[in-house]
Amino acid sequence: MKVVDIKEGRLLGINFIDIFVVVVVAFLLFSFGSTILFKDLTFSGDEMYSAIKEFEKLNEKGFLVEAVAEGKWIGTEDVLFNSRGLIVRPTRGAFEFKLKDGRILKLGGSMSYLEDIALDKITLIPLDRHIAKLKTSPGYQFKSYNEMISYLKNLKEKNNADHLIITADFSFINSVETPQELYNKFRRRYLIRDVGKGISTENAVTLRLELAELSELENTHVKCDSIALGEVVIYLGYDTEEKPEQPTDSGPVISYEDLL
Amino acid sequence: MSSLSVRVISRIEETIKKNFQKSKTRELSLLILSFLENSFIKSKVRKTSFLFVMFYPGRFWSKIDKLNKRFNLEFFLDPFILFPLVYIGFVGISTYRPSFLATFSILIGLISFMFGVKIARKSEFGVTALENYSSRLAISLLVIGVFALVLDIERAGAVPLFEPFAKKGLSVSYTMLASLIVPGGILAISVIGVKLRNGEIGLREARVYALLTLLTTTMLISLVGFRTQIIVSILGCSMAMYFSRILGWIEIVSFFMVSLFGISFFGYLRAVEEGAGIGILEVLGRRVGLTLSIYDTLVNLYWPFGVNRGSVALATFSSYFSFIPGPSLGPRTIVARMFGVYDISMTSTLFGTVMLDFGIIGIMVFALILGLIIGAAYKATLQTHSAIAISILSLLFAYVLVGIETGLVDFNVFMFFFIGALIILKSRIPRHY
Repeated sequence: MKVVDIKEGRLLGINFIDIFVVVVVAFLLFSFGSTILFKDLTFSGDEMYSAIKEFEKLNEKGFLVEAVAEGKWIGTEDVLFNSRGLIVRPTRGAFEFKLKDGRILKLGGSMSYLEDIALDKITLIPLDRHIAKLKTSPGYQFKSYNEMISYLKNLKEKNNADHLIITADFSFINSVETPQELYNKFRRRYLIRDVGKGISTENAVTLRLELAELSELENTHVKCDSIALGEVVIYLGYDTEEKPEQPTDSGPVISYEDLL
Repeated sequence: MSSLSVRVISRIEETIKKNFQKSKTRELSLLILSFLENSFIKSKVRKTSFLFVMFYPGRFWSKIDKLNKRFNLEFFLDPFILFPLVYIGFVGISTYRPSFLATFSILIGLISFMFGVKIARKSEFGVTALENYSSRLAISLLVIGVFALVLDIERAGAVPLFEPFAKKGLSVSYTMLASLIVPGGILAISVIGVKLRNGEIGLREARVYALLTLLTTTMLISLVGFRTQIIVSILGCSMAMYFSRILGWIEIVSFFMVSLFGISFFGYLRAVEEGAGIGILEVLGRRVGLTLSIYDTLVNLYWPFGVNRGSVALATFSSYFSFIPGPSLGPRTIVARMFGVYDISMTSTLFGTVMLDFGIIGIMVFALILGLIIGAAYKATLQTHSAIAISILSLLFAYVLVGIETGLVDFNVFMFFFIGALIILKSRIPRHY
């Protein structure tokens, strides 16, 4: 057998065009499969609306979503930006993005010019792989802030969760701090997605905290006589490879991969 | 002066020919070309394509053939008519109304192009250069292009068509080599056309093979995710089918419409995804409007003689080869920077970058040269019906039509024009006075 048979067009006895076509088709199928089937949460700066759509799916189910953002500082030519932070909320074609030190930046698409950063690439990273929504009472009353923390910690431990995330109206009765001070205090905390504007009544300050992680609440010290929670939603987050069993008093466990 | 330059070129050509004919490189190249051709002829891939002939819609196509014969509108596809028509249509669908000066400069460009086509028609053509190698060249171009495409996608880590951010990982060299798929496909269709003309295959086989080639070529080139290449592939392949008499004008017009609708539809989908409230028919008009508005601004700023004195044209080469002195930015990026835009490049129509360099004088010369090349390729096609002439005309004319919007400023496109023009020039029968 000839190594190269020019007349027959064979290489090592195999028709060159046939093997070439087979290899190319196999390669393209593999590339197609890995691009489409193993979809991840990485988006280019031109795909902001796709990124926002995916974020909203995750956010709606109670996932806290961090992101690794790569891009350029707008207003400079070549100053690069590469940082991990928490997605606070999407605005029109952009994200508000909280850094670990509490600063909030605006991330726009590759062609943005009004925001702080023009993104080349953004990868969304949910804090937990799986999440379960706990069945809770609509309201709670605690004698102190610390009592609330202890209650939530117990709840987390009882369900073997890695994270406990809560969304609620927090009413601080006879708080020493003004609504603005409380707002600033919580808003700077990294793993609290969003804080609504404070409402002040005669003896209480009410703030709506959206997706606040327990450890961040624990590290925030608030002096008040008592605390009431309204419109409470609690999520249990699990960061395990395997999907955990459904905790008692909770809805079904949802994996973020199921949402993609 | 002119006869001296012709003598110098002929002497250089003869020297190269003499040395090349004796060289080992020539022997090796011919061996590789023969190997690929023999391999294709005896491949299962070729044999499998016979199966598709069964699906040929004979009745349906005979009706279209009758219509093609009944309404003969072939003159529309003459570059002398089609180019100005498409350009006027381009300005017509725009949401932006260009100024008098911009309209005037476009008219000058169109007249120069038509003048170029008219002059080129006086040429006479004999045997087209490289015609004997056409099928081998087609297979080689496709193999090299597909090989580069695979390497490019492997380097990018994903298929850019499905994962747009992977475009940033593409290699410029591989992408340019991958663009050889388009001339390869067009040449393959032209070869099929020649086989049909010589009676080696029937019309139904020719149509099925040509359409399969069009689909494969377009599908492959679409993987890198550049719309221009996709449209050039559809237009170029369909033109090659038309000039090879595989298809009639109805099918060609349908391909044009499908291409236009395709651009609108994908633009519309993207606009909707990005939250823009825009109608499907508005997409093209807006896009054209933006390009025309950029051109309009350039004309009003630099209309008599331009401003950059050739540096934008030079950027086509210097942005690709670092050893060539000149701007490191591509021509479209230079235009974008002029408007204070840093992150994207901007197109300024076929004449925009020429206007920037040499003003209206530049447009006249540039359009004249384009007209000469396309006109000569058209005449060579009509006279010789050779695969090489048909493929050169189809490829270059498709690039010119798409270039009305995108401009002709890419290095690989320049090379296609340069090599195409050389082959056509070489096939010309010299005049003896």
